Amino acid sequence: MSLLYTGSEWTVDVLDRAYEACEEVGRELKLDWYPNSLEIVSFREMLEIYASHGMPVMYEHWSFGKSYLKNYNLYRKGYMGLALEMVINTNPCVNYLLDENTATGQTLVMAHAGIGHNSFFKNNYLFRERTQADSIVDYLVFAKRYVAQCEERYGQAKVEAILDCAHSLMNHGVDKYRKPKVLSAREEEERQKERLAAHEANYDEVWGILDETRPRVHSWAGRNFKPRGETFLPNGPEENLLYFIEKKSPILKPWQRELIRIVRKVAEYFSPQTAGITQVANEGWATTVHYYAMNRFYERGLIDDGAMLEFLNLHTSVVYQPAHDDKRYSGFNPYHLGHSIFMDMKRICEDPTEEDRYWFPDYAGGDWLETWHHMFKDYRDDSFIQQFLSPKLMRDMKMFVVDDDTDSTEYVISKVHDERGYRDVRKALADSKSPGARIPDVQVHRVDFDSRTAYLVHHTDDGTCLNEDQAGEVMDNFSYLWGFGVELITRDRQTGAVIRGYESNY
Amino acid sequence: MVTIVDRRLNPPGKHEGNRQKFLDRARGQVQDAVRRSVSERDLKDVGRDERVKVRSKDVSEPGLTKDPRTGTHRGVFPGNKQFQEGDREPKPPQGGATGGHDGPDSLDEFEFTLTRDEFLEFLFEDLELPDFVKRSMNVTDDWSHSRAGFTNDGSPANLSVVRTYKRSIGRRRALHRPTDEEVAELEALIPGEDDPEERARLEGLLEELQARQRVVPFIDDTDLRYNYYEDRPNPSTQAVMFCLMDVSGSMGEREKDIAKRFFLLLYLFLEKKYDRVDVRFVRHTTTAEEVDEKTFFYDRLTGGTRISSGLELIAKIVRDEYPVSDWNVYVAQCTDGDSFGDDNQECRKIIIDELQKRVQYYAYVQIESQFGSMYPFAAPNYIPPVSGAWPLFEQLAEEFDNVECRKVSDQNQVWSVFSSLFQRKRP
Repeated sequence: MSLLYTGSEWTVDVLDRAYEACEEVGRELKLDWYPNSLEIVSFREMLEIYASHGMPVMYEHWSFGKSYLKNYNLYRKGYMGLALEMVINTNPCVNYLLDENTATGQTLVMAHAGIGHNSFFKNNYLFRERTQADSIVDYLVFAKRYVAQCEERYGQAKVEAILDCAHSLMNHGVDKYRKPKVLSAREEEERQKERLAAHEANYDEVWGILDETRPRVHSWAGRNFKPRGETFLPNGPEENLLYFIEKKSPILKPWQRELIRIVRKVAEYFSPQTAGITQVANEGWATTVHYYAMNRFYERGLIDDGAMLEFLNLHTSVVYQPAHDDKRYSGFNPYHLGHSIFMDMKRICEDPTEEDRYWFPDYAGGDWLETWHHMFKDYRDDSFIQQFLSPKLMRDMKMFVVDDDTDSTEYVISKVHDERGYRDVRKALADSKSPGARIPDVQVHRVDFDSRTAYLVHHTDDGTCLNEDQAGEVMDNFSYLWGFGVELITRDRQTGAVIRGYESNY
Repeated sequence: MVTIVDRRLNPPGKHEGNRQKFLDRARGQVQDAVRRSVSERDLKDVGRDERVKVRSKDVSEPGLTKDPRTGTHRGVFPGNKQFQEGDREPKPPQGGATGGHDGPDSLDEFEFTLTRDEFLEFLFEDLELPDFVKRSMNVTDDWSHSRAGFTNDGSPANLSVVRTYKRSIGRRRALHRPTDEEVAELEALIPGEDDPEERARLEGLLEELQARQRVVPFIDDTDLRYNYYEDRPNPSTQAVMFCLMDVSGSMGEREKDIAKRFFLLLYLFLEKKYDRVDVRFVRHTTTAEEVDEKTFFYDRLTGGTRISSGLELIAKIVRDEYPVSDWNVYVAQCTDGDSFGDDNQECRKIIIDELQKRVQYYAYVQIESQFGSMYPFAAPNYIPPVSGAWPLFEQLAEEFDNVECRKVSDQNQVWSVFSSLFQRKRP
């Protein structure tokens, strides 16, 4: 077996050979992935790519400009090593390789992103449900063009106003329980044409003007809008705030609804990745793949000692987990946590102890590759941790649970990594990775038909309220899009007591 | 096989649109920050690496997020060293989040760097050199010959063939002039015709057509069209700016600094806005000399004050090197106005005789000293006499449209004075 490369310089041939080797490992692991495209970029392009969330095409918005500048600052100050890699969930899968990486670095990236992340995107249940890798780029092309057209027609300021408001509600623009329809750029254009036709049908011939104020029946708004009497939403509270506004706002024009729809679709596409609900499993899996790959390459003589040492160096820095009292601590490193869980389960399959047999009766002594497949395909972070975090790992990482009552002056260490504490530690960690942990539960409950005020309720389980000023701003935005007043209350889910309230009448 | 693409070869600036949108949004604040920096920063640093702080308000991205200071939270942490179940730890005073920090940027302000170009653009957004069009037309001999449509009369060299031909077609159609093809066709028919009656008819017809052809001309005088040219005056786009600085002893370090800031702004302004502007630096004490940029800004000199010496030198340079017909001349002068009394007459004479009619714009900036300049150890209730150059220039400003005068008493005013002098005039 000849070496894939020597030294640290890489060429396109090296990339080719190394990629082939990675694909072989992928086949060894019985994986399935989208065809890959490797793109070499310099750090400037990498910053641009960060700013548009990695998408090769994206509509323009000032927040992306701000994001670019922020990352640029962080990078220049040295706070943020530019990630060795960036990869996006599309078919074909685009992997961005930083040109400064060494040959070992690029090989690692290709295994990590090209095989690891790629197979995760293609097979993990959440991604299969919520995203369409085949059509997202086409859709974004449509979106970019549509936004640009609206800017030309209606002015940048007006478009920005809508996009700003929609962005602020992006975390609440996803259906947690409904399966999204397949994206199709062509369908979108068809819908647009229909909408335009219906709009023109409202042309008032007597006055020769487009009568904007006449109430009319749209197919996209109003069907569920019962005229009088009922104030509660007929289908129950609506958790997808963007959807609610897009369909039911009395004042928005068709093009404005379309813009909101675009933001909503983008939010949906990114939803498995935002709020970190698959980060541990995803990064853990990719790390595991690259770790397996590099070790196999070394075993088979494809990389030399120097390269292996370099890899080990890179790997250890990627999975480094500082302790809670270390200056560098910033939470659980998902690379470390995920990778450790995968490796731990492999051990439990191959060489289980008594404890393992007790805690993992279904997996102990089983086939590790099968288990790995099951792990990365069928779980998201909270269920992943709940199912696979072992007491051994909790001991290794010396995990402990802290209860923080913001009214109290003390922290309480309620559980540690011992027999009494394992289940609670695991549950607490799993809960912290659930979607509800970071994103508050806010839903539209009802609409008052006389005043057209919308009533939103934020349920809280632990007394946590919303950030006041931000909530105020977001309610202003909601009110702007809704056209009438809006009220938001924070209510304790158990007791029903109302803790806070915000109002806006834009 | 895998596709490998080298994106570094792509033209840069895909994010330009987003950056532009962001700058537009933060525009007001960026402008303020930029203008403040002109007064505050070291002269040599102005424009370089300009950091701008923008308040979050205009560029904030709010969302419905949880407030960590409320409610009860349960968190898991790694690396337990000594805690047992049930232990209690006092919280650190006010704002102690366990462990992690957010990174360097605070929530209230957002800082970023402008490129030099952007900086200058923001700084000089609404300003321009006034009055490029020459005041007196007959002074200029720079005209341009340009097309101005068509006319019925002209010299054969200007004949517009296409236009003429078009008109002739119309006329011929209207008067039913037979075409050559029609005649030829008819002619060709005749020899083949055996029937004598038919032949005679055809021949008669042919004669008619030919006669008609003779009567209705192919091209008539009324068809003729000629290209028309007009003479238009060309605005002269060459400009020269004279920077005249008083470096006499009465100008202390502080005053010189203010003057230098003013000229630096002017210099940056011209460099940024105009392609071809000559900048000439003249400094004077009792005598005047022309210097280069570096010496003008950085060198030290001192002496007495005779403003007229500077004006004389400028007038001379203008006479020798900048014919008024080709050049727009501008003068900007900074002084503390503290010249010898009788110098005013000289100045007035030079300005009225030579400069005023030759310059497009004369800007006079007087820097107020904190005390009287000739009397640094003045008594506390000393009131400096209203003498010196100010009254002269005030009067000149009233007499002539293209003379302006301003006072500056401290470096924070430099910007507002500068912008008022060069404010773009709305037509």
